[in-house]
Amino acid sequence: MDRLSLTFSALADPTRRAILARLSTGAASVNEIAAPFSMSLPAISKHLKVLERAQLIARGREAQWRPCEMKAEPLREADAWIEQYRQMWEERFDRLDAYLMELQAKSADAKATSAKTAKAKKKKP
Amino acid sequence: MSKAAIFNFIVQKDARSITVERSFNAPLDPVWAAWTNADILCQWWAPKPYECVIKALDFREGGRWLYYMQGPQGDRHWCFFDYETVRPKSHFSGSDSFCDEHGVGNDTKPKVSWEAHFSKNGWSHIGARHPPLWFTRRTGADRGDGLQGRLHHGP
Repeated sequence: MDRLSLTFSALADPTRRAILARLSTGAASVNEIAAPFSMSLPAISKHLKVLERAQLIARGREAQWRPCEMKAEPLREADAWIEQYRQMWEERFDRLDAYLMELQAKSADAKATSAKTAKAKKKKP
Repeated sequence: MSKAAIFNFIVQKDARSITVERSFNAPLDPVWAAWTNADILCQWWAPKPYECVIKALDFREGGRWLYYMQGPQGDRHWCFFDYETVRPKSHFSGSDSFCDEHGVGNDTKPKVSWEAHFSKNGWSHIGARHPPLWFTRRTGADRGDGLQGRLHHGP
């Protein structure tokens, strides 16, 4: 799986988003992270592994206390991708809008021309 | 008198979905035709500087729309869209995939399911769902790969 897909699948889970929200305020140990959740430590560890694989968090190296900290880079990449996607739809719809405007201008012209012709016809004896 | 166009882009990361909304100051008929008539669709589907060339457009449930986007350097990105539901002048849905010029899907790239909704006062709502993967990203070396090629703007 590419990194962006990893980022989005990691973010798809509410527990993992809550963990990230907690870590955005500073590094924390697994016990500290687990405290607000009614979830076993192994379950929390599983979530942390997913976040780590997505490089959304990094773990400290100390064997005893391995604090987790948040990494912002994948989130920035995800946002950049979303921005490109937004631009694509915006430009696409701007093109559609331009086409619709042109179409309406043409039909307005056609109406004006046919009104003129009708008027001219009326004038004729 | 022209009303200002409204463009909304709503991202729900948890649901892995994106909703795009756009209003058009035009009656429903030409907006619907712009999605269902190949001659019109190819005029706007590709974001600039890309151009869209439609090879087939079979707009009906079970039908397929096959096209490519061509970049200024001549790079071509083939895609198809398989229509699943079609409710005239109301909505349609389906999924798009990358493919080769024969319409053989590329399984290494994700499909995107989306639906388009239309309303009488000139609205198009497009909802795109991205399960189970999101698109692969362009890295510096493989520029023009997949959707990123279509999305490429500027130098």
